[in-house]
Amino acid sequence: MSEHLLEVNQLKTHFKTETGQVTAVDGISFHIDEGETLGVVGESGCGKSVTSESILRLLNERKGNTTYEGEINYRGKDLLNVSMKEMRKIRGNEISMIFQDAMSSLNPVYTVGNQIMETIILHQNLSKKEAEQKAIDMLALTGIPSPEKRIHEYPHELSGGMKQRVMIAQALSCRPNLLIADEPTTALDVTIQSQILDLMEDLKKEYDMGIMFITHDLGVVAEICTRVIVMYLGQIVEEATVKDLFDQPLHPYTKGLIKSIPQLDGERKKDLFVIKGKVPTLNDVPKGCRFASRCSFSTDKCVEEEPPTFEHTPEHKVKCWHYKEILEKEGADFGKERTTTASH
Amino acid sequence: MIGYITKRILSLVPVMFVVAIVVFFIVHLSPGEPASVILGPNASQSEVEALRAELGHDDPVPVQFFNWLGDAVTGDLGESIYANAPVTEVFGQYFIPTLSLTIFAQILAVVFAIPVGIIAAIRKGTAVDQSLMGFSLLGISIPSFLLGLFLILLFSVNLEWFPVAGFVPLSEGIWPHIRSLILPAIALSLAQAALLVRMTRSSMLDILDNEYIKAARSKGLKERVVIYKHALRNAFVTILEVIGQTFSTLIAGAVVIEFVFNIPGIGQLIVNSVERRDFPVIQGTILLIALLYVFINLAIDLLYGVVDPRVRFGKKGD
Amino acid sequence: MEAAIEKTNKAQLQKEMKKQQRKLMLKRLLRSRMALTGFIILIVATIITFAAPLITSHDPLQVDPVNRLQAPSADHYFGTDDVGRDVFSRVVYGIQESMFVGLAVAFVTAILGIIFGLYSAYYNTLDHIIMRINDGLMAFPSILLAIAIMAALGPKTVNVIIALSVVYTPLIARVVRSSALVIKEQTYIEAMKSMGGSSNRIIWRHIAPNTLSPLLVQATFVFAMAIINEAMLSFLGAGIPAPEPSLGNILYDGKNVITKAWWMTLFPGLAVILITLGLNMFGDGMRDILDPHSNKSN
Repeated sequence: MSEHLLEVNQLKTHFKTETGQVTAVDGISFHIDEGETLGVVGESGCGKSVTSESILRLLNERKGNTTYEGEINYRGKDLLNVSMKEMRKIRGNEISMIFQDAMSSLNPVYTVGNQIMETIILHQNLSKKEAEQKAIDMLALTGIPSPEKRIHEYPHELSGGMKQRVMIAQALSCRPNLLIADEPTTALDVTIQSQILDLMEDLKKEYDMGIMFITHDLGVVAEICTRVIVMYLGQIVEEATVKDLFDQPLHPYTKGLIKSIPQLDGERKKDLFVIKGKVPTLNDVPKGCRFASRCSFSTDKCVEEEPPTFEHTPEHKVKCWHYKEILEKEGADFGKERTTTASH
Repeated sequence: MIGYITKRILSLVPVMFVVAIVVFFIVHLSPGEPASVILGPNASQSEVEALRAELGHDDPVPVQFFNWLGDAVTGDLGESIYANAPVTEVFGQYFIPTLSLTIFAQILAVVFAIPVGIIAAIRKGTAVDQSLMGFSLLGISIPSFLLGLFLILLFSVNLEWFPVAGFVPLSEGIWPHIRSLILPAIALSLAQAALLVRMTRSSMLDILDNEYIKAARSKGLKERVVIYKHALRNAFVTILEVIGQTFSTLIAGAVVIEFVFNIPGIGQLIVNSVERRDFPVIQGTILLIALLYVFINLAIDLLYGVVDPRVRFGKKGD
Repeated sequence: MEAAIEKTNKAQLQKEMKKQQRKLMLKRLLRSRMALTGFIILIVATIITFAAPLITSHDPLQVDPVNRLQAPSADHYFGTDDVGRDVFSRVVYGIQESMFVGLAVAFVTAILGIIFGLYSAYYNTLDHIIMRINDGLMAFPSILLAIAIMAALGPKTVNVIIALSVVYTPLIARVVRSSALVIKEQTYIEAMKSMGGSSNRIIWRHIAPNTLSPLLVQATFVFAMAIINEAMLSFLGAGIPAPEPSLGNILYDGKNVITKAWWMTLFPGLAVILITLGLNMFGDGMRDILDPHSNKSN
């Protein structure tokens, strides 16, 4: 088996809260290869962001508020065990991150140039002058007009799309091997969103890096990802290639997510599909399948016993007791109905 | 920016006008004829008449007010009855020790409180944090003049580390001067320092929750850089506001502290003038301090622009 | 008919809710250690105030030059001062004086503050004038303004109350005004106005009750500040006139003999600190109870 760029094994992230310990990420495993984009999908609160922040260990470890179990292997090192000093060398240099809200991810009191240069000077042996040139080049690369002027501006002087470009320029300034993008386009309007996605796609090819793309928007996943993991309440419920996921979703939760994408073409359907019920809180996680209470296929077994992860094909895994029966009953139709709309 | 400054200065005009009215009418509040009050019960009728004329009290009150205001605007605050010298001159003589004391106390508070506040914020919830917060609560609750008296009891009377009332003027050397101001400055600054510790802590905690702090960490920056470069600069906006508001409190506190430590500053001047019923001095001094108070706040307001670029462009906050 | 029944039901429900709320507040007060400590200190201070003649065995004004500057003993718990007066009695009567002045100032400022605050929130033109005056008064350091007024009025207890009331009324007016402004914007006030409700009725029946809890909290703080400032004024010789026992006067006398009689500084000083600490703790606690959303850190 070839070495993966990043391989996460049975990762568990626990938080200590006032009401006791909570496990926000509960035994997830996945990998990312160079040059591929892995989509991580799920509703808010499902543990997507915690997963990404666990990789860089950005969660508050002081006072033992956050504890990890499992392994995060990156180039032969377990990131959960390296020293903070080593971790800092990796952060922003080999693995960098783009956050959801560019508005609040840039420090309001420093110019954008200052913030990009800070990363460059930190990880590369460049003088201030060279770093400034590099920052200008990076901004130009992300398509910001007159970057030599922009670097002297403060974040509040830039539009939302511009700020996200600045974030991308900053994240890529040290040619990372892995880019973690946590809902990078959620706060942007649709036109800007597609511009940013195109930009990321171009830069991925140019830099040959792996991208972990976190989103709750399946439309975006269809557009740029190669593989997808679907998370629900701290666990991975399905893992597949993008094509498989849209053609033949196995988990009832994934089906629900796909069905709830608004349709623009064809005749107007009745109402937008909504998955019934609410995500249970992390404080009382159901003992069986975590989706059982919201699932129309659930049985006593689902409520009583947690399903293991089944391998439908080596590349398509699902955490559901009844995926086979469901597939036989309706799955075939489901795929056909959707192919025309979702995966183009 | 210039427009902003002009606007802020113009907004002070009505405030200063009210200040002037209040200061002017302080004399007219006093029961009985100001001239005879000033001269005391033993003055003869002709003496009172003479002083009346000299003070211009024969004119109607509004005329008196505008005469006084006109003089005040041109820098003439009248003559001290006791010292036979212009009020501005008397004020100048007494102002230096007050200024030394206030600035010393301010430096002490800032140098001590900001690091402590940061430590408390970083160690939030630990025993260190809790004991620092406990001390600061105590610090806020002790009035400065009482703290001054207690410090004298402990360090001057009991331990004999400092003379009981040994003010040394600046002219006799800078080090002896500063040494003589150590206890007064501690007494004066403690409450402000305690408040600053709390404000620094709470604004640091607010700032540390921000996304850009996480983003800064994700770049691989050292925790020290994250805190001192990225968080503190932002927290400074709040900290500066507190410093601005409390610097004026320090000046007022200095008045009482000077009396405690026998420092010949504005405080002594005011207390003595009250005893001597030297109204022009009382009026002038209070007017000048109120002016100072207002302009310090203005200066602090303008300083925001330096610390927070958002203010510079006239759209503070989000 | 039905509407009327509904109305009474509603009123009853509201009454019940208020009762529950009050119960909850009492519970919170008891649970908040800080507020409770403050409350106990206040009770003790109040008892001292009323029982002053019973707990003291010496006349606070009785001069006894033979026994001057005596250290604390069984006869003179807090020692004697530079003219032989019993410091314990003077402190007890000083507390009485402080409580009286503090309460009087809190009361006067509360009344003036609510009047100015409400009317200035309600009438825009008046607001401009009152707020400018407020700004002007607040431009003075409070102790200096108090000294100036005392200089003009002369040293007398009632003048201390007047001076401190002038100093602190703007503070209360501001608090009342800002909470009144919020209420004023609410639809039901607008509705009442449009139906021709009398302004005074709207102000006093509907807006005023909603400003009471911040007013109460602020008045507690004014109480504390007045006690400190009275002590400060008297200490500077511009407050309560000399032989009268007030905490500031004892401190003033004590300052001259500070090398010989620590007790003259320590005991009245501690009394001032404890009472104001109690008031502030109580005020803080009350603020948490009455308005749980307010920012604690300030």
